[in-house]
Amino acid sequence: MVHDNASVTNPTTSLGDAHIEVKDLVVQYGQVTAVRGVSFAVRLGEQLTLLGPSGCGKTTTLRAIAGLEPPTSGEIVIGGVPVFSSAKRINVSAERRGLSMVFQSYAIWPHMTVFDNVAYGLRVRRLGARDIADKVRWALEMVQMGDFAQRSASKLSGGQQQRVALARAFVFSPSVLLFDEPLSNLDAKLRAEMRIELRELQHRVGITSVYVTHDLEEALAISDRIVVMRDGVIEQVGTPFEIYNFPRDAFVADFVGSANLIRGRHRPECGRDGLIALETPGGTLVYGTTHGRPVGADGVFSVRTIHLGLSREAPAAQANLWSVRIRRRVFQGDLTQYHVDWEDRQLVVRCTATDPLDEGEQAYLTVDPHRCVLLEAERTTA
Amino acid sequence: MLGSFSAALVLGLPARFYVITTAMYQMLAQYPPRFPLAAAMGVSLFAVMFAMLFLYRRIVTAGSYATITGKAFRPRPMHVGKLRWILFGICAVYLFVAAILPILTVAFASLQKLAVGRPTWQSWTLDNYVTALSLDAVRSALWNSLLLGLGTATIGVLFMGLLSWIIYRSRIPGRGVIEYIVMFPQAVPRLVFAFGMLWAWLSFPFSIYGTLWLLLIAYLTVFLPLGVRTISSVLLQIDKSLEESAQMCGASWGYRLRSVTLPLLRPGVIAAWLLLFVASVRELGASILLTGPNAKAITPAIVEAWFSISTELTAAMALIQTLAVAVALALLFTFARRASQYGGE
Repeated sequence: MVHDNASVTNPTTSLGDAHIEVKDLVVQYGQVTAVRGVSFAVRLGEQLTLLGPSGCGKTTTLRAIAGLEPPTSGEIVIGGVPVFSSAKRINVSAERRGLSMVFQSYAIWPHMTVFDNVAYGLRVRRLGARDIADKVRWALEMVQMGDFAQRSASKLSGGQQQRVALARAFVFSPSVLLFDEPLSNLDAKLRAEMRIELRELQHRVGITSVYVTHDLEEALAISDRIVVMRDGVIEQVGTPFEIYNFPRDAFVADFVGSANLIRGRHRPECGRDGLIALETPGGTLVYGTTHGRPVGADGVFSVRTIHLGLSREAPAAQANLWSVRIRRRVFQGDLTQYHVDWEDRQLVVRCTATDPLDEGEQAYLTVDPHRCVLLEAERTTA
Repeated sequence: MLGSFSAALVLGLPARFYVITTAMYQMLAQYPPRFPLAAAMGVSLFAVMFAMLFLYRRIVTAGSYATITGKAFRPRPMHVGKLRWILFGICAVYLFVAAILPILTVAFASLQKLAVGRPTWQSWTLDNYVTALSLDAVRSALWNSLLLGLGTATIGVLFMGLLSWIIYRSRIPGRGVIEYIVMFPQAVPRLVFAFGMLWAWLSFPFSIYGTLWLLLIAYLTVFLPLGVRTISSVLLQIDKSLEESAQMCGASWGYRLRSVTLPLLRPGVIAAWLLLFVASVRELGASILLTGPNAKAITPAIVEAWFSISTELTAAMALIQTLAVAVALALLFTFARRASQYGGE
């Protein structure tokens, strides 16, 4: 199965090596339902990311796993032990779930030193002073903060605070690490660095982790699998590669990087080489791949802006080759974005800026049919 | 201001100028006391206060009055040019007339045998202080007030701290109602409140009336809004995630409270303690009806001395009380300054 959504469609099916299982989770605040029936599983040692726009319920889901937000109904199982179950009336308090969490606001205690912050979880567990000192040193070395142990926590920069928060979270070897948008308060450059560091750290420590973010690049960079959420439900579950290349519906296609959507009537008689053809309202035939999805009478292709190509000379393409006029050009640094007239609409193309085309110029637009991915039929109206 | 009492009592009564609270007090102080009439006046005052409170809430909820937002904001000094000295003068005069002059006058009067405008050399004396400090009634009243201040402040911060926590941090149902009830005493003039308490406890089987306990209960109630507001303003500044991260480290409720919440709350608790202490020592409105022969408080004793003994002795007593409060205030400011910074320990 291409889409790892067995647990979505059939919540009773559990993965063999599942570390965390969330089943039919519903969270309501008064009249507002933040999470409406979410089911997924996190494998042992896996880094899973909940991705979605603000208000999609991703943070609420994370906090429900943590035990900081009481769910309305559903079940949460960690390491085979139910920590929440509305049916069995189980609700293990957050401090007894054996998890750990890194907060968006870092939540570093300003009245303690860096050492005391990191040592906190060890002291709670009543470790000996020597053991504590060793572990804290190890954890601080891990996040490259070894020299800061005696510094007052209130005198650290944002990036340093986040490193301390991270050390504090994994120093006592929790079974699961939860991340609530931990990098969103850092500047872009630091964020990019921390992303790679987090990924490396996760590999070294090997802890199962659930990560919440609204940042696509972050999700793609650090995740083993991504759960895309919207309005309290799961839109798609898959590896970063699957999510990016084979979005299931228009929302995911658009949210996970910019995409052009091309609608058309299915022309089965024009299909060839395992490709299908859609005829647009303007009569243009566009070839694409179904990616194993059923085709109805009509269909929608998602085409990433980066996969479309523009050139002055006609390339040797068999299908999906059109002559277009450049309407607008936007220089974006690494890439240049073109808006081209195509039928009675515009398509957005982004390509490297080596030989820029001018506005008003005629050019050839082409796209590999394998990059035109059919969306799932019942979801295209979204 | 409708509920204000002490200034109107001391300044208005001799001139037979009554405001509603002093009129009520007169009804109760005369013989026989006219309880029903006083009660009616109290209830009508109550009604006006609630109308005002309702209006206030309507205005406040209608618009946005937030000054502290996510964006960095720094107050900018305004250049006023030559006006500067005039404005400074106005402020200085106001400060002098409103605060310094009365205290100087009191000090001036307290140091004379018989207070006159132009005292001669011989009329200066410290006798009033000696008398004030040697009178058993005054000594016990001052002692009682300091004791009540300590008691109110200490019990108050625990009780009000717990209430703040329940209102702003717990998930206990009905915490919104608690918030409303806590702010309730703010709307009730203390004299009206004390009157209600007086009547309620008089009809109670065990005698708490005429003891310091009644005063303690009264203080803890009338200062509820003060204490809860002071502590919750600090509590609200403590990001919830600071407590949650301790929880995620595996700390139990008690451990979290001890290691994170209380240390962070300390500046607010200290400020609340000192505020409650000062407010209790100078309380008059509720105390004046609830003190008894064996349970005197200093402020009602001063008012009593003003009406029945001498101006000079009253002045000496007032200054002794002021001094006690001033010491507490000095402590308050020292702590308040330190409260703005953590760490460095």
